[in-house]
Amino acid sequence: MAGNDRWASFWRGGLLALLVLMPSVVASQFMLQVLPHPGFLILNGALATVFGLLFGWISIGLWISVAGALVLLWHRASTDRSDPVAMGGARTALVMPVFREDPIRVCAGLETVYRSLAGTGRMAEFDFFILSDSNDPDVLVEEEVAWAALCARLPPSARVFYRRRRSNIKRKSGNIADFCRRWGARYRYMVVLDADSLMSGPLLTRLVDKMEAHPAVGLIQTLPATIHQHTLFGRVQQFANRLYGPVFAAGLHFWHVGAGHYWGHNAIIRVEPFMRHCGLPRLPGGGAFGGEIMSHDFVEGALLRRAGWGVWLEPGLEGSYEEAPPTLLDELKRDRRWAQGNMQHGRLIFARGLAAAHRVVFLNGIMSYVSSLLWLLLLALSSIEVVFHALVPPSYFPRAHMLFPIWPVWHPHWALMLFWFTVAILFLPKLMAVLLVLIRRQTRSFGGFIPLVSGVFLESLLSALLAPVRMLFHTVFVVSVLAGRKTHWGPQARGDASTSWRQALRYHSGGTILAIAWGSAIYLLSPAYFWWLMPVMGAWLIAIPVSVWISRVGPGRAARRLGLFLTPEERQPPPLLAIFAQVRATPPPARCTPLRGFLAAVVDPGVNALHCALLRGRGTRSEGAELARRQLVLNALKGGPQTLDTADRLRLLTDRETLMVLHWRVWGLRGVRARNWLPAEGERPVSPVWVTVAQASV
Amino acid sequence: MTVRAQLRTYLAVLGVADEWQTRWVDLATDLGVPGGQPFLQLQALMAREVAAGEGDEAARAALWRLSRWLQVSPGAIEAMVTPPPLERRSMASERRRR
Repeated sequence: MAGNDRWASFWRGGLLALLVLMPSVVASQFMLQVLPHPGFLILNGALATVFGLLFGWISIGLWISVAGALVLLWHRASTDRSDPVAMGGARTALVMPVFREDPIRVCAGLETVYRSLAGTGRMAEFDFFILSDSNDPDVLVEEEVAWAALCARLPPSARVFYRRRRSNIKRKSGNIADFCRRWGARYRYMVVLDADSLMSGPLLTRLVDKMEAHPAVGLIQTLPATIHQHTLFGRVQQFANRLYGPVFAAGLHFWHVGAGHYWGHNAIIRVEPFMRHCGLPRLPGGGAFGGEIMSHDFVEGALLRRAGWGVWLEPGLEGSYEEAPPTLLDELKRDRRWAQGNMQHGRLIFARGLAAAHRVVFLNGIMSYVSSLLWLLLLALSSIEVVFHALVPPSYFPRAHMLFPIWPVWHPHWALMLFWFTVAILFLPKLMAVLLVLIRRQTRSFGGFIPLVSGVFLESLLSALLAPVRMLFHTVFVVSVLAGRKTHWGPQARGDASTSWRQALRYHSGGTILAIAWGSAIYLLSPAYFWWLMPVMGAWLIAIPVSVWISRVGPGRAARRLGLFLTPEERQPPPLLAIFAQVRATPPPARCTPLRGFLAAVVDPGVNALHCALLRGRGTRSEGAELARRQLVLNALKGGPQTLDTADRLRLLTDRETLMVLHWRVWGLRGVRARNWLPAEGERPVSPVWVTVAQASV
Repeated sequence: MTVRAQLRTYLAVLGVADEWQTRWVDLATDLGVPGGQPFLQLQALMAREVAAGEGDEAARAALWRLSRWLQVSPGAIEAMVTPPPLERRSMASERRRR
C-alpha cells in the first residue's frame, strides 16, 4: 500500500468514524429526552441504545452519499483518470459460472460480449469459459446444446469453452477455484461474469490496460447498471440503482481508498495473486456459521488486500451491466442467501491482518440484515413502553418524603422532530443524487425533469412501503441464521417472473396477521401511538396485494409508457445492448427431434453425440459398478424414462459408453417400449432446418 | 414400425438425403438380423465416414452425427469440444493448509 493511500485511508476512516459516532451519541441522548418521563429505566436505556445504533447505521449511508456526490461533482470517481496505453499480450479469461440458469440467456450474453470485444480488434487476448455447476439433468443438457449453437454461430477461431463440474463443492467460489486450478496458470487476468452480466469490449480492454498500467492492483470492480427490467418492482429498482447507485458507489470509492469492494462479478482479477491468496477455507463448526463461506466475494477482496494488492472499486467506468430480481419475493429469496453469507463474516471480522476498511465492509454487510432486527426491536420496545404506560398507573411520589409530585411528561413535538430528522437522513442521499443529475444536465437521460422528480417521489413511496416488509423478512433470516438453520443453494430468478396470489399469501400472510394483532392491541391501549405505527403496520397489512401487483409486467409497461422510471440505457441504448437485442432475436437452434433435456441426450442423434463428445473416458470400473450400469440400462429400456429418477439420469449422463449404448438400443426398440422413449411419428421432423439448407454430399 | 422404417427415420432426423438413406438401410439390414443389431451396423457405417484415429467406432460415429447436426467438419468439432490444455496448479492457501 502506497504511503499516500495509507494516510488517505487513515484520515478518511477517522473522519467517517467521527461523523457517524458523534451524531449517534447525540441522537441517542435526545431519544432519552423524547421518551416519557419518568419512564422505565431499563426500557428507556434499551430504546436509546438501539436507536443510537440505528442512527449510526443510517448516517453511514448519508456520509457515503455526501462523499459520493462531491467525488462525482469533481470528477474523481476513478482512481486513475488517464487512459492507459494499450500494451496487449496479456491473456485474459472471461469466466461465467452458471448454476441452473437459462442457457439461451447465458449464451446470448456471452455472444454479445464476444461480438462487442471483436469490435476492439483485441479478441486474440481473450478466451471465454462457461463454468457449469448445474446438477439438473435437463438443464445441463440444454446448456451444452445452447453452447454448441453459440459455437456454430461464432467464427471457427472463437475460443468459447464449456466445462461442467460433476461435484459442485464450495459452490461459486469452488467453481472459480476449479477453473483456476485447471487453467489459471495460462491467464494473467480473469474477468468474472454472472449469468446475467454484460460487459462491453471497450470496457474489457480498458480494464486489462488499467491492470497492466498498475501492477500493484489485484482487482478492479466495476459498477454494473441494472438493465432489462419489465415488472413494476424491477423497473423501480432499476431506476433507483441507476440514479442513486453511482453516488453511493463513488462514496464507497472515496472512503475505502485502495481497499474496495468485490461483488463477485463484473470485475477483473489478477489470477496469480488470486490463486496465491484467495483459496477459501471451510469454516469450522456446523450450523449456519460453519461450512463453506457463502458470500465469498467480500472475503476474496479482503484476502487480496491483506496480501498487499490493491482492490479498486471504479464506478466511473461505463459499459458494465447486470439484471436484477424481477419481484420482491425473488429479491427476498436472494437476500436470504446473502443474509447467511454476511452473518458468517462475523467470524472473519477480527481475522489477522485484514485492512480496517474490509473489516468495516464485513460489519456493514452484517448490519445490512441485523439492522432490520434492530428496527423491529425498536418498534417492539416502544410498543412495550406504551403498553406499560397504559397499564401501570403513574407514581406521582416515587420516593418517600417527597414534597411535590412528579408529573408524567412527554414531548410529542420533540418526537416528531426526531422522526423528521431521521427521515431527512434517509432521504437526503436521494435528494443529492437528483441534484447531481440536475447540475450535470442529465435530466433528459431520465426522461426529463418532471418524470425524474415524479419517479423519485414514487420510488420513495414504494421503498417506504416495502421497507417494513423487508425488515420483517430480514429479521426472520437473521433469527434463523442465529438459530443455526442453513440456506439451500438454488438458482436465481431472472427475466419476467411474477408473483402469484398463492405465493404472496404464503409468504406475506404472517406479516398481515402480525399487523392486525399488534395494531389492534396498540389501538385499544393507546390510540395516539397507533398512528405512529401505522406506516409499518399498514405496509404489512397490504403486503399481499402490493407484492402481487408490483411483480407484474403490465404496471411496469404502463409506467414506462408514462415516461416514469426511465434510465439512460432505455433512453439511448448503448451499442452493447443493441447487440444483445439482436442476438436475443436470433431464433433458437434447429434440433433433430422435439425432445429436450435428458430425453434429448438419450434419443436425439445430434444431442447424444454432443453430450458424449464432451464426456471424458470413463476409465476403469469395478465389476460391481459395471453390472449396476448394465442393470440401469436394462431398467431404462424396459420401464422407459419415467422409471429413472434424477440420480439415475445423472449417472447415465456421466457415462459416455453407457449413454451411447442406450442411444442405439432405444432406437432399436419396438412397440410400447419404443413409444416410451421416441417421439411420436407426427412429432419427428423430417430433417432439421439447418441441415436441409446446406445439404452436401450425403 | 419395421426396422427399415426405424432406420430411415433415424437417418431422416439427421437430414441424410433419400438415396443415401436407402443405401445405408440396405447395408445395415443386409445381415437380416432383427432387433437392435441393424443400428450397430449403422453405427459402423457412420464410423467409416470419419478418419480412423478419432477414437473407437462409437466415438467416430458420434463425431459424424455431430458434424452432420452442426454442419461443421469433424476436425472443427474436435477443436470445439477440446478444452485448453490443463496446467494444473493448486490454490496456494489450500496447499498451505494441507
